[in-house]
Amino acid sequence: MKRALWALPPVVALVVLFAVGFRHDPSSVPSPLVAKSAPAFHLRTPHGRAVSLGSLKGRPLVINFFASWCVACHTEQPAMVRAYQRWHRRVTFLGVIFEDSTPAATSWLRSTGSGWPALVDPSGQMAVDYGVTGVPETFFIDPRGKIVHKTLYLTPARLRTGIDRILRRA
Amino acid sequence: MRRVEKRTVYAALGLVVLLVAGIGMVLLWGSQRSATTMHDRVQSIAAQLRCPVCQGESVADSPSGLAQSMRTLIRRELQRGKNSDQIKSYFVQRYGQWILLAPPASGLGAVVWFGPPLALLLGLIGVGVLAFSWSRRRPAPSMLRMDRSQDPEDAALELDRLDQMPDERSISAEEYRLRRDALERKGAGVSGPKDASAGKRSGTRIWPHVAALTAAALIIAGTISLAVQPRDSGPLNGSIPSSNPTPGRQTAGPSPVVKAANYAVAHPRNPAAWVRLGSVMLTHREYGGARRAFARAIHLDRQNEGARLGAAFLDIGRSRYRDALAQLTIVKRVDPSSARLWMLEGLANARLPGGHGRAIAAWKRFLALKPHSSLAPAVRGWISRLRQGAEVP
Repeated sequence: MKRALWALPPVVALVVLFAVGFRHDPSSVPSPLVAKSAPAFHLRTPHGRAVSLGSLKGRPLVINFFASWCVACHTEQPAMVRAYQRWHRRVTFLGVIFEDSTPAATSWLRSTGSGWPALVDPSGQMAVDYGVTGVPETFFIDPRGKIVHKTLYLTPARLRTGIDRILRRA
Repeated sequence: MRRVEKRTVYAALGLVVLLVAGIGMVLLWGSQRSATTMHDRVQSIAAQLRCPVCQGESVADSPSGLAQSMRTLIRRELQRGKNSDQIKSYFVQRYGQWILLAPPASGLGAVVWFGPPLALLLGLIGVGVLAFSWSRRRPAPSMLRMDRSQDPEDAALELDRLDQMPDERSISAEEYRLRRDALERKGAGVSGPKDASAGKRSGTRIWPHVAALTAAALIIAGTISLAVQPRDSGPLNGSIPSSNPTPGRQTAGPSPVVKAANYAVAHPRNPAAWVRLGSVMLTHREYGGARRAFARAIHLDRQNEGARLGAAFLDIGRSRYRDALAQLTIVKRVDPSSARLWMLEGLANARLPGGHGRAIAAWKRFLALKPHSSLAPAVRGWISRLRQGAEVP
């Protein structure tokens, strides 16, 4: 009996550890930027069109950091395309090229049937400003310019959740 | 008297150990160059930041694009007059405390800072207590069984030992009384000199010395680890050394192979990174590593042209012409307009029995694609040799 009591504390510790650990959503990246104003950016599309955060305020915004070499980006792209087709009248979609050549990224994006613009971030400044740790990463920004949610790999459900949250604030 | 001398020796030993550890710490801290140039200042701050897209590398060491962007940003902010704390704070606002390689000395991070010295202190106390108890330990009670043949002087010594036992609680009061009576009956009512027993004890004990040496080792190791702790991101931390390192390469910066390897490790899912590593290793004649890098790229992307071409090149080098042609068949599906494809196709076929016709056809396609290539004259020569029935060198 006494031996069984000795085993109790480690078992309790393990249960607590698992209880806490399994509550975390692995796709949800704890970012200190969530619930704060999105960092400003002034970038250009491959065609030279200037895009800034200020010019997009007033509309919910989805920013997706991607690269053509990123396997997970290929996986999530169909969900992004469907979401774009469904919500593009109410939500602005933007892609940001991350550590990739502009021609490769844009041609891949075009081949997937996406209709949203890709921004060229030559110095990587925007990626650092947004605390990007890899691709794909997607930020959901409400019409007032506040980051509401950030996620890693997108699934249709996660995308819908994120868009619902920014649309609720519209 | 003798015990007092020993303690003095231990105290002196302790002082020497502390002195050596202290000097070592001062030398280690002193060896840290102060950041004077802009590059040094950038590197100094970057060394304190974790590369977000790498595994266990600092921003200073990582060749990844994001780390380069971060270094550029640090440089720009320094030029604007920001100090180290302000720049680190900027990164913490973006990435959280996680971005700092050295955790803060508050909250949970305090465990990392104060845990090791505390553990060291507790260890030293524990070792000290053990050493003290060992130095005072007496023989086990079973050794005190009365030997009926012992003389009165021995009995006196035993009585002396027995007198100290109740304090150590090694025997019961009842047993103590019985043994004392027995010894007194033996006619040894006088106490022997206490130093005599102490003298007997001192001869064979090694544990105090072991404990003292352990304590010394712990103090030195702990002090050095504390001194080194803030600089845990050395210049080659987390990097993969080249399989053929060149002396002096470390000071001259990482070699292209190391750079490419670091980049591939930082981007393990990026087939282009592995192709690049394979190509760099190929040019450095590190064929085994190149083969593994190309295989990794093919594993990630089965239709990767660069990886297939690299693997085919290596297969030709190992006289595995059919394996090379199998790799090239895949490339043909992906990019039949690749000149390198037709060059390698010709090389593989030229060495296969009955493959001369296919080799000529492949090289003709190469020449059609790259008529002005530096290799074109050689290829024309090979074609004419094959037509004459000769072998290609």
